[in-house]
Amino acid sequence: MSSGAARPLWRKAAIAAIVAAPVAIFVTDNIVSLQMISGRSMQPALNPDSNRLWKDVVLVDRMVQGEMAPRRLHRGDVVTLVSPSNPDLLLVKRIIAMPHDCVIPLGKPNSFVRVPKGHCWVEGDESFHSGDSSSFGPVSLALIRGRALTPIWPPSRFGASLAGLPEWKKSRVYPNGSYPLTEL
Amino acid sequence: MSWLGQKARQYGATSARLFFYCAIPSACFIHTVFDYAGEITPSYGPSMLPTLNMAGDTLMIERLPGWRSRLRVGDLVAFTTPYDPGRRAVKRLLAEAGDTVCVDPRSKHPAFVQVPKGHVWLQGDNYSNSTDSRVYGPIPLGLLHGRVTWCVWPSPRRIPNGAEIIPGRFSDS
Repeated sequence: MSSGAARPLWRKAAIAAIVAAPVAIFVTDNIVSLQMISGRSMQPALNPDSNRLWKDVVLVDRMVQGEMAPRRLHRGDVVTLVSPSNPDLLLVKRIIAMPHDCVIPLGKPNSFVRVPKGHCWVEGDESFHSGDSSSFGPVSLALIRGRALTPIWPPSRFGASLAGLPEWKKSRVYPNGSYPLTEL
Repeated sequence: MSWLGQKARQYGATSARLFFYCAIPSACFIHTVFDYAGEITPSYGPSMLPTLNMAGDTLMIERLPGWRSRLRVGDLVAFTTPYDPGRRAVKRLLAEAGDTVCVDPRSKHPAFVQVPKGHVWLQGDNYSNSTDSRVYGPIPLGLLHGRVTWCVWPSPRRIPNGAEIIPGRFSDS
């Protein structure tokens, strides 16, 4: 790297951009990124009606992919995942159950599903508008691309908490097939 | 190597500058190339005999943009196993979404599975020793990593599409 005075500003800026681009791509794919949320399936946690027409933009922790997923994800986390029916679609849902848990699916209250090893059960908070594990069953943890931390846009939503599992869902989850979550 | 040190001093390169301006962006550049163009990765195991060596073959996996739409039945694909997110595997794509697969034609009552939308059926070439879609069902396309095109080491060779489509009707009589 020669001393800076000899080079024109646009060349320095171009070199800086070329050097920074792969780092930016790496950071946004593997460390932390932003994601705009569309749709109503996660109301009221994301895209509440008070937003009017604004869509939430959330900060996403990307260090939960691959082999880190079973250790770093827990019940109640809001995650972005690749849809099992359409690999170009990114869904944002909440993890209701982790591997080896038993879940009573919505709409089938007399049956239960045991979540296999390496999979999880995801549901949107607003179940009526949601295509989630109630329609396509447990999803592999390897499909998860990130964990939503907090909305950063619109400014009124900055830092809002995404909370945990709603109480009414806890009664449908039996961790490791034992007692329902409400009793633990 | 003292001339290298002299040149570095002439350009004002300290080890800190070298690290931040050269090493980190280079590593990220290589990582980006791996994620968006293709990578070279080792593989081992008996499930793809005789196509791939049991003791280990180094494969080149391509994932240029649009690779998913270029996948054909008979391609070798690399993917993450659905039951263990930290583990990757290489198998052959035998059926796409909408196809019906006969899981074991030799059995008296063969099972038929229809591959749902957005999924594929992956099976190892070594049917007798392969854990694949016959065990864990159709695999979502989101788990696929890329298409294996070449084996680069120890015996460099191209990995062709191994499918032969036999026209006709499957009869269950």
